[in-house]
Amino acid sequence: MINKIKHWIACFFCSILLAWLITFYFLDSIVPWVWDDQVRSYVNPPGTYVWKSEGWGATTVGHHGVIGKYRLDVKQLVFWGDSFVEALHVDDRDKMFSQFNLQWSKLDQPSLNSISVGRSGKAVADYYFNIPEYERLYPNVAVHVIVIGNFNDLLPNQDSGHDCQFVSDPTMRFVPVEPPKQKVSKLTTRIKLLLNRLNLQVAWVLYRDLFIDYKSHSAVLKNLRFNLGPVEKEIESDASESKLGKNNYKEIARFHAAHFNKVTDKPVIFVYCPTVPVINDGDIQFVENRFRFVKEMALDFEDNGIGFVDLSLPFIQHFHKTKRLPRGFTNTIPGKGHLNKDGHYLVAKALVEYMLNNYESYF
Amino acid sequence: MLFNQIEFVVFFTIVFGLIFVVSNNRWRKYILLLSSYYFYGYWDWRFLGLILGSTLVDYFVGLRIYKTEKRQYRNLFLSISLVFNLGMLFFFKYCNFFIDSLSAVLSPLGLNVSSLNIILPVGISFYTFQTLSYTIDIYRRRIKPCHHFFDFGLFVSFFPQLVAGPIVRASEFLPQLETKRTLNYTRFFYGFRQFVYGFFKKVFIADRLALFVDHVFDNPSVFDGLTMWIAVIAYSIQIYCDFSGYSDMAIGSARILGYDLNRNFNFPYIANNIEDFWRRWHISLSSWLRDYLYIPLGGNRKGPKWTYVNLILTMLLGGLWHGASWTFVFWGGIHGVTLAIFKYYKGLLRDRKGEYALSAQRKLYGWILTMVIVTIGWVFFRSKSVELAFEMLEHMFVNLSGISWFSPFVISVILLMILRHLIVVMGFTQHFDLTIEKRHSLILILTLLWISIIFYPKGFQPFTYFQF
Repeated sequence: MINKIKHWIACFFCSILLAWLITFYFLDSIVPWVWDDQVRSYVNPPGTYVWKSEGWGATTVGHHGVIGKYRLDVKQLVFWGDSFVEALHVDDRDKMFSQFNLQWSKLDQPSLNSISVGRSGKAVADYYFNIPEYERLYPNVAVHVIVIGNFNDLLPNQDSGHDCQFVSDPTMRFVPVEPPKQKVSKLTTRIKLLLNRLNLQVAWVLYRDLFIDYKSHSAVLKNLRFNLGPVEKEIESDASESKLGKNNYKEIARFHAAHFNKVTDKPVIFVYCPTVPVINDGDIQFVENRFRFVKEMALDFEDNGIGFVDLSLPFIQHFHKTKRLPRGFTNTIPGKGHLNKDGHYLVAKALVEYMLNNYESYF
Repeated sequence: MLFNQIEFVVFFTIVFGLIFVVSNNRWRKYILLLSSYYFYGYWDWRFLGLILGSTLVDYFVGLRIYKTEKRQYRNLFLSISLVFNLGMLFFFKYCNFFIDSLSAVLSPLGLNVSSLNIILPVGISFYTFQTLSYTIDIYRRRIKPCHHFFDFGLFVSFFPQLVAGPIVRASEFLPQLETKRTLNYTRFFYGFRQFVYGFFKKVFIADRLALFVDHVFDNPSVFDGLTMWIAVIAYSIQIYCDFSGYSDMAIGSARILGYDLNRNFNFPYIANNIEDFWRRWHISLSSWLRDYLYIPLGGNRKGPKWTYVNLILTMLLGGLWHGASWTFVFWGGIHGVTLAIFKYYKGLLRDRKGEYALSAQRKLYGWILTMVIVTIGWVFFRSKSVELAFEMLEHMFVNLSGISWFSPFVISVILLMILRHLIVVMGFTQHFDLTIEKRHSLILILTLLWISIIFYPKGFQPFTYFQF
């Protein structure tokens, strides 16, 4: 009996080792957040992160969470955004900043180098807060491009945003979050960094899935049930629609324009990535439910000196030409989720065209 | 409660611990009976009454049938069992199906019939068939009735096989309850091994394939022909891994507890004819249909034409057993017609000795044809409606344009499955079998468990056969 127990214990540890050897090639890097005093925000620490659960990419992050190579000798264009700009799902060479650099370098135009400052979960209010800090560190920033992957990020009273919240009660305003949202303990950060260095992502995955209540994870051990059923299911309302409420899109656009014009004297361009084309209900949907609001806001932004690039038409044209959707990956669901290589290319291309068409605004 | 939930691990550990500690066979059976009722009540305690009702009716009916010599009274008692069990099944499972079908016919006449708000009790198709087999076998004088009510209650509600099979025969299970079962390390090892195999098949393969399959089947007009074929093949693997995985977990759990359940799947995708496929797929159901439907209808005793009719009818009803939808009837019809055609073809190929033999080349053609028919059948089985199924088939054979989606995981699983089946066909299984004698067996078994846990897909994926 003792020998059998010893055999089981030995096999248990050997199996963990074998499982680690097999799985670490397929698991995502742990992406910790560290507090950066210089930009007064949580950023991804320097290092290379690989992502395999959605898409398949390697991302190298530099100082202050910057992705891409900052150059002191040329003007910089900064892409701001959430996970759409962080873009762990595609390789650096396929990200919008690389695609922009490649396309711009082929033009006979003044040199311009782009970099990305993106982090999952951020919203427009955060960039209002972050832009002055980064301009202090990177004085040759010439253009700010804010990529919107989710229309709700423009709206008040949403759950998104880390450093700053956009609220409308009683009046529209940006409110710094003190302490910053999703503050993580130093110990947790150290553990994550260590696990990353030792390629022990598997330990983090197990801990996260069993104990932590992220919105997409089950926190299995926290949600155990042993009582008899039936269990009454809570009916979840459509969070995105319920949080919209009644919005005056004109006022919202004016608010953003006024505040971004105040916080920086550099040109600001909003780039909107629609959810269409998307596979929906047995067919391909080409028109978003909120396309009218997007059109209204685009005009209001332009009227108030803020550039607005709507990618609806380029996305649809690309699909008709290639039968490829700009969002989604083969290892997730085509058409849903983050921008793939095609999506990043289209963002860069549309931005280049917009800047050439509005040349005087930027040069 | 599902086998792939942590709650089941806790539950099973406690039950096994109690069984291990308690040496008295009667008390072990009480523990298992109470555990089984808790297991079922975990889903919904309100339906425990149905299992109890089925148990009570068939227990007493079984005793009466055995004691009664007069044919008319035997028929009467058997009828009570049939009416109660099939009535229960009809009400909970098929009532709304027939109401909706009737509504489609009556609505053009301005008559509206609305469906009822009925919850389908989990496992009802399985335990009703199980108790029916008991009363029918007593009626046929194949077995004697069980004289211990709690033993019979345990036969009906034994939790490893309660909600999704295998459908257990009284003749195989009740004798096991009469004697104290041996709990030893060998039994535990092989039970654990089978449970892990099942867990891996269900969680790592079936549930992850579902993410791809569901999206393609929900949007058949969007994807191109090759993607459709990959989705259908993926679904063939998904349903096999889901159901055989569940059966493995059921059989493995039972084995750990000391009880033996028959295998329910035997590599159906190596079958080179449709008859062989049904000897390998859901064996407990196909044998039930043969013994309690096909043979009573007349089987092959009334000449070839009636044989074909009985085959088709059996498979149509077998299809309907799977679900209250015309897609399942269609699926059953495809298999019934194919079985009838095969029967006819087999008759033509019999030599003078009455034997049926095929060359290797013909076996290969037979395998290809069988797999194409089975795959097409799965399109109906999986589709939400007959119209969508035909739309899917159109995209598979005719209108091939659309979006391509070649999921690396799905392609890898298909290739691995082909390799796995080749190993079986070529007779190399024993080289890869993880037996108790091999020191590395437990390492590999535990590794499969870890991989399943690490890559456990987010979001709930019920067992496919739970809905039956």
